Amino acid sequence: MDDQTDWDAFIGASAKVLDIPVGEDSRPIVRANLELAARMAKLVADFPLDEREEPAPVFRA
Amino acid sequence: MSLAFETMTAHTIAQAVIKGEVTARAIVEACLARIAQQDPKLNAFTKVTAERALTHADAIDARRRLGGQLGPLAGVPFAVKNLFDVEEVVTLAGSKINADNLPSGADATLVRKLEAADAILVGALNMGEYAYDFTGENAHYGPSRNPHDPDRMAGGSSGGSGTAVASGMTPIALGSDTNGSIRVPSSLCGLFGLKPTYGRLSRYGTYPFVSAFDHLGPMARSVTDLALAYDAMQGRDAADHAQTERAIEPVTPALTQGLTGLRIARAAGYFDKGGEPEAHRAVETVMNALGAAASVDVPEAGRGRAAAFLITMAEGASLHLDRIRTRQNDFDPEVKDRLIAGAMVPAAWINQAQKFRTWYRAQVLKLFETTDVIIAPATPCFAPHIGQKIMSLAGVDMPVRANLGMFTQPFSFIGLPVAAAPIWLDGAPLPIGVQIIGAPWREDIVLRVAHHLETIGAARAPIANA
Repeated sequence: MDDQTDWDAFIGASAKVLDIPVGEDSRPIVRANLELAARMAKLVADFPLDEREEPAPVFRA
Repeated sequence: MSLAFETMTAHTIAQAVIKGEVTARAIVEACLARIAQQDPKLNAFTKVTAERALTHADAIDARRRLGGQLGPLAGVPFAVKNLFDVEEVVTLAGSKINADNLPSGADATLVRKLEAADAILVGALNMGEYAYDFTGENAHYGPSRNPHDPDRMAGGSSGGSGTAVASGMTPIALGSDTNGSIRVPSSLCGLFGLKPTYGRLSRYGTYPFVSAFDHLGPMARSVTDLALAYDAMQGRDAADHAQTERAIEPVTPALTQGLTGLRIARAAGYFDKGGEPEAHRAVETVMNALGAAASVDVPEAGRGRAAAFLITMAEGASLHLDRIRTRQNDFDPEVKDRLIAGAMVPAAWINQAQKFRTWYRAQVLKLFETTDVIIAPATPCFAPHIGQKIMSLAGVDMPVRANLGMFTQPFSFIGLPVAAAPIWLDGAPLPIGVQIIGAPWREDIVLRVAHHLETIGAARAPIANA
C-alpha cells in the first residue's frame, strides 16, 4: 500500500460486494480507518514469521 | 452506626452487615440516595434497579435475623456495564439499536455469582457503543463523566463503571475489557481494576465484542474489594465455551504476602515512549515504591498492538455486519465508520495477525521465566476533555478514541492477567494508572503487588465529590 492506493475504488467495490451503503459523509472516515489498518497490517506482515506458524485460535473437534 | 456510605469499601460494608451493625436495607437506601445525588451530574447509570435491590436487601436482612449465614459480600451494592444481562432489563451494550430488544430473561453468570455471595445489584451502567471505545462517550445516552473533573472523559468503554465507583455511587462495578476497557477507565478515574486471565471468568449472559479478546472483571476503590469480588466470580460455567477448565484459586487469603520472592521489572522499549510525561512518571513512581530497577523489553509489542487492532476491526465488523447494512443511522457516528472499514479488511491481514499472535505469546511468556511482574503505563495521558478528538502524545497528534488503549492492547491481546493501580503524582489534579502484569493464571501475584502499593500509600483511590 502506498499513497497511490485507490482507496475510493476499493471502498466502492467492497461496499458493493458486502452490500453496505457508504454515504459521502462516511467515506473519508472509512478511508482513514482503512489507511490506518493498512499501516498496521504492513507492520505485522513485515515481521518474518515461520510459514508453519499456527494461527492463535485452535479448533479442537 | 453513622453511615458515610460513599466512603465505605465493600469489605467494610459486608463486615458491618454480617455483624448486624447495619442492615442491608440501610446500605441500599444510602446507595440509592448517593446515586440520586451524583448521577444527574455524572451520567453513570442507564438503569437503576431500586425495587429489586431493596427486595434483595430485605431477604438478606431476614436471613440474618433467622440466624442464617451471610456471604462474603453481604449487602454490598454493585452495578454492571450495560452489556451484562440483567433479568427484566434490556441489554443495551451502549447502543440505541439494542433498545429494541426484549428485556433479558435471566441474569449473566457473574451477576448471579456476586449475588450468591450476597452482593446486591443496583443497576446497569453507561458504556461506549458496543464496547468499541476507549473514551466513555456515547452519542445516544451522553458521556460517562469523570468524577474528578466532570468536563473530562471517564475512559471507556466501561465508562459508567469508572464513574460509579470513583464517585462513591457503588464500591464495586463490573466491566468488560477487550483491548483495555477496564484498565483505561480505571486509569482515568483513579481506580483499581482487574482484567483476569483470558478464559478465567465466565462471559455467559453478556453481549460480545471480539470473542478472541473479551474479558470481564471488577473495578473498585480497594484491592481487597477487587479480590473479594473476583473470588466470588470464579468457578466453572459450562455455558461459556471459551472458559478454561480450572479450579477456583482464591486470591484474598494471599493478598497480604507482600513482595517477598517477586521479581519485578518495568516494561521497556515500546512502553518507554509514546506517552505524555505523566504516564512514564507514574511507572517510575511505582518502580521506586516497589524498590525495583530491572527492565524487560516486551518483544514487538507495537506489532502486537497492531495485530490486536486489526483483529478487533474485523471481528467487531463481522458481529455487526447486518446492522451496518440496515441500521447505519442508528449507530453512534464515531463507531459506525470504524465498523464499515472493519468489514472491508482483507482476510489475509487477519490470518497474519493471528499467526503473529502465536509467535508473540510464546515470546512474552518467556519473559516470565525470569520475571514475575511487569509494570507498564495504563494510559498514555491523564483524562482528555469530553468531546476532544485529537490528543498530542510525545509531540505527535493522535486520535483520542483509537489511542487511549495503546499500552493496554499488547497484553489483552494474549490474555495476560493485569491489575490497574491508580497513582496520584505530586501536585497532579488527576489520577493516572499503571498496569501490573503477570503470567497466565497469576491473578494472585498482580493483586499482591497492587495491595502492597495500596498499603504503602503509593496507589490510592479516593472518592471524588462532583
